[in-house]
Amino acid sequence: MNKKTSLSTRIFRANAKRNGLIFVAILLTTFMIASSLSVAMSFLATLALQNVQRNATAAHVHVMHVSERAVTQLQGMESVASVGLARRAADVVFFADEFTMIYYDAEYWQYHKLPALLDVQGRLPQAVNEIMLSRRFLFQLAISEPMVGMDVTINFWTANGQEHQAVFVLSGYYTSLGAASWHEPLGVPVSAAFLYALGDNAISSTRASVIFHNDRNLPQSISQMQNALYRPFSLHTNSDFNAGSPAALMAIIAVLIALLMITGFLLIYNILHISVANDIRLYGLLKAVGTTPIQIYGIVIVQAVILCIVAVPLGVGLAAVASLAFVPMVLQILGVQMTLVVSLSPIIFVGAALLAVLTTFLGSLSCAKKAARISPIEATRYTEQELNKKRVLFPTRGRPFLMAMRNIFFRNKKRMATVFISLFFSSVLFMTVAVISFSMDAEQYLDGIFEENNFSLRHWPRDARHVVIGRHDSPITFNEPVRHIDEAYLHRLASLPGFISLRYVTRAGGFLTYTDAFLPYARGVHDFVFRSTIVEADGTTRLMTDAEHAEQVARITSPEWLRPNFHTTVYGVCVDEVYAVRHIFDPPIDIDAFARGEAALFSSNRNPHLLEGIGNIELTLSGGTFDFEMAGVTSRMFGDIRAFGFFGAPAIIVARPFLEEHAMTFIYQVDIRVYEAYEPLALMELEALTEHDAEILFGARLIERVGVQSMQLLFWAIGGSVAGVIGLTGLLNFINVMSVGIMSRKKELAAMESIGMTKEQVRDMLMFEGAGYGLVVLATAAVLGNLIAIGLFNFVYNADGTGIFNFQYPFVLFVIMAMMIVAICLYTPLIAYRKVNNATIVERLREM
Amino acid sequence: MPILITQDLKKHYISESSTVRALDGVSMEITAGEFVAVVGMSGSGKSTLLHMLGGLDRPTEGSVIIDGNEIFNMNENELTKFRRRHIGFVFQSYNLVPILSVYENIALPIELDKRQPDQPFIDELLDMLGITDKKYAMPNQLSGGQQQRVAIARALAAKPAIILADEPTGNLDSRTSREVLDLLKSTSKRFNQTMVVITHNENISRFANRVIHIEDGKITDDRKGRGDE
Repeated sequence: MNKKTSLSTRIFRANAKRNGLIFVAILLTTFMIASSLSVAMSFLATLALQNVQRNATAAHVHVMHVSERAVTQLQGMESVASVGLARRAADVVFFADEFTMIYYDAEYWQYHKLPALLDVQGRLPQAVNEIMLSRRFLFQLAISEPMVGMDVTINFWTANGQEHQAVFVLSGYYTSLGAASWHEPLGVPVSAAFLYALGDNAISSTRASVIFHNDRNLPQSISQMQNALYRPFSLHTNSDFNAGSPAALMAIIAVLIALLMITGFLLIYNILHISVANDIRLYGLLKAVGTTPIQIYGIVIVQAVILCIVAVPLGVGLAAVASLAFVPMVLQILGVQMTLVVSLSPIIFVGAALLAVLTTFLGSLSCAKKAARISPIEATRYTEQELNKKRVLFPTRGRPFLMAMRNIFFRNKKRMATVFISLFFSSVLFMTVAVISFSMDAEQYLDGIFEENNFSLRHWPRDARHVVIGRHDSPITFNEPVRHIDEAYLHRLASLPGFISLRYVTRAGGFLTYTDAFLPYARGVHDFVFRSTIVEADGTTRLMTDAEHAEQVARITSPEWLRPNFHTTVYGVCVDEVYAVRHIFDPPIDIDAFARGEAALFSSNRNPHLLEGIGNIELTLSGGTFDFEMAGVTSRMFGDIRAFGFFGAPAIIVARPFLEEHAMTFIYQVDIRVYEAYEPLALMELEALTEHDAEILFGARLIERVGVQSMQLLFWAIGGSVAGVIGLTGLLNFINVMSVGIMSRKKELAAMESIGMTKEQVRDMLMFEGAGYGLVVLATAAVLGNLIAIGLFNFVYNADGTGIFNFQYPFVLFVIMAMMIVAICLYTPLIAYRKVNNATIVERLREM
Repeated sequence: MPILITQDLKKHYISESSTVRALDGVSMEITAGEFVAVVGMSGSGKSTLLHMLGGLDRPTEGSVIIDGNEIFNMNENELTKFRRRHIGFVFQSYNLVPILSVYENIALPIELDKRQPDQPFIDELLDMLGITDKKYAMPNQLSGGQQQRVAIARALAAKPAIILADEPTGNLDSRTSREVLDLLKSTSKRFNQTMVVITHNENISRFANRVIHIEDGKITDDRKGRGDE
């Protein structure tokens, strides 16, 4: 061991208490950084997985109607990681969702499909009569408890248009969260043998799906792939639902990590600084006997390194354990509802360790600089006081209060600043978490969904397209809807335990007579028009180019296109409900005209302001064509009707009796109110009533409340722990600085007592010092802290789409926090002084 | 008339293995206005005696009576207040308060007693000690000799009856030492203050009216000094 290392370890061993404090500081810093990184990385991994689940495939791009030569080419490309093949065999007959029987090769199943599925049981079909089904499909067959090996009867169409019925053996089943898209339909996996058996009657040719090694720049990879193929093929790119969305979260995590690093730095710097100050005569002596500044840097930094060697791995390990326990909770709070991924990527832990070591290094470097720069002569005179002012700004007059102020502001400005910043950060973080948490109003959120009701049922018929849109190839046709909720059903609902009232909204298809007044609104929904495909002369299809897409948007928002296609949805609401809200509109709704079917409302949650100038409309229902005077626009009212019309036409709200008389309606939504005491009983009955009904979805305030409250609780628990740890760091910093500061002033305080300062006066001075720190922090927190906390709340409030936030200022909590800070600030110096005061004046005066 | 009396003053430090008799039955009387030098080798017990005289430490046995007051019958608070009114201290390492200016350090014992400092008197002290231009300087802007002058001024400012100085020249060069001792001597004479100066330097005895020798916690010699000559 060389002399420098030996000296470092000796100084290290002589400072057990300081080492303990720095150890805790490094441990906390590492733990918090690793935990924050873990949440961020897990969030990104979860988003990526959800993207795959929503797309129902991990493939980046599909190459349609692909030839064998093209497949061989794709497999040989360096940028391509996997090529999976699939072929559409037949279409399943008559289901609410469009299911397609597809053969997947092993590569596609293993690397493209399986990552998108959950809870997979059994295996891919092998025999000609084997089939694999999703739980969604099984639900629509009314099979709630599937078993591998059971028989399932399925009707399907083949390419020649013939309908077949066959009994299949279930070889496996799974849960798929993906939405159907035409290039990745809701698949029903069948065997290769089944496909061969169909021969030329299989519906489409082979599709190759590609996963690239690198997904950073997909458009470029896809373009290069396309160019490398011997001829162009139609391509379909899977959408990235989450592109760009994590930016805000990443910014928050970056700020949090920066905050943690600053707090950790301040704490480590302060503790080491005090320690170096205490050992300053030793450093001076070392310089006097020939130790170079570089060697002194080494002595200080080696001590920090020794602590890092133990504290950093321990902090990282604790964070890994905590991540497994807490990250799923945090992700739930962040609104991640599907599959959760806890990332244990080495980047998190290596990154956190590096950041923690960097923080410690920076903290120790600043202190090492002080030790290295001090001259031997300065070291012998060093008195903890860095004051170099020629004159002081205010007299002390022997008053403890003024002497305390002098101590705070004139003794050591750097130390004052670090303690102050550390305490300030802690307070601001605590205030922000508290404001956001207190402003989470579960009841307001539930009112937004249920209004004053306890349950909300929504009927979504299987042939919803026909019923809702009211179009079936010709401009104006109306199909008889399936009336699933009828009078008898309403009577059953009215007999629920504790029943008070119910209300319902009916719905029908309608056709609006287009006028140019609708044009701005119709153009406003153009971004909802998704990109279509073009069928080439050789039968292959391809995605539209940007220019073709722009041309299509222009075409479907042109008056010529809109005029014959202005189909809409018409809602019938109770006249009494409109009466209750008539004054919200300016001028108030003429309720008699509304009841007579002469006035109506627009309903749109997309650019509602673009409808405000439209005074009259002509609406065709199955019972005739009617004129309405438009009384206003609503975007969120009457049981959360927020639809926007199809292809540019807004939805219309009319009086329910009128709609029932003149259109083929069905009950779309029922809201039920029961006495609170009967809520659980009513919930059980409703669950039983709707258990086997795939067309009725229902929400219950009781279930939502439990969800929202547990979310609130989790936010509190996690936000509170983060704020608590940072708060603790701030207070630890303060306690350390104050107590060590008083210890280092031991002799000075003894001298003051020797010349006649009573112990009470010393205590008063120290208490004022502590209170001074506390009050300055609180005063700044009251102004700046409130501004920051309320500003951050506004940021969260504006980003929130749930309507859960209702600003509440946690005044009582802040008063308690303020009292706690003041109490700690007051008593820390006193406790430190009591320790110092154990020795007599003489003993204290004799200490060097 | 004696202003300071000690009676059989003992201070024993007892540890598991041994007992150190720092003071072992010191009895003496000091008259008002006397300049007394207490001399002895390092570890003889002279500093312990000074601390007992000033009430900074409590004896194992015996008593200290100042101006008729048995100081160890007082509680901590009463003793501190008594000290700031009746005793001035000058330490070897000056013990100035670093955050206070020269003037504030000097006025501190008076202001702590919630009395108004006698400004002309402090100015006179500053002038006499040659540090008038340093009145508003901070301690770390002063040399060692200047800091010791400030400590002397602080000890004198409250016009105490007794000044106790513990090795006041220990950190000073010989020329500055002589100046400081001259100052102590002249001020004690001028303000009729009793001065007890602890030193291991026997040359100081030439400034004193009386020289007390201490060895192993006992007075071994008590004779007249050359300060009267």
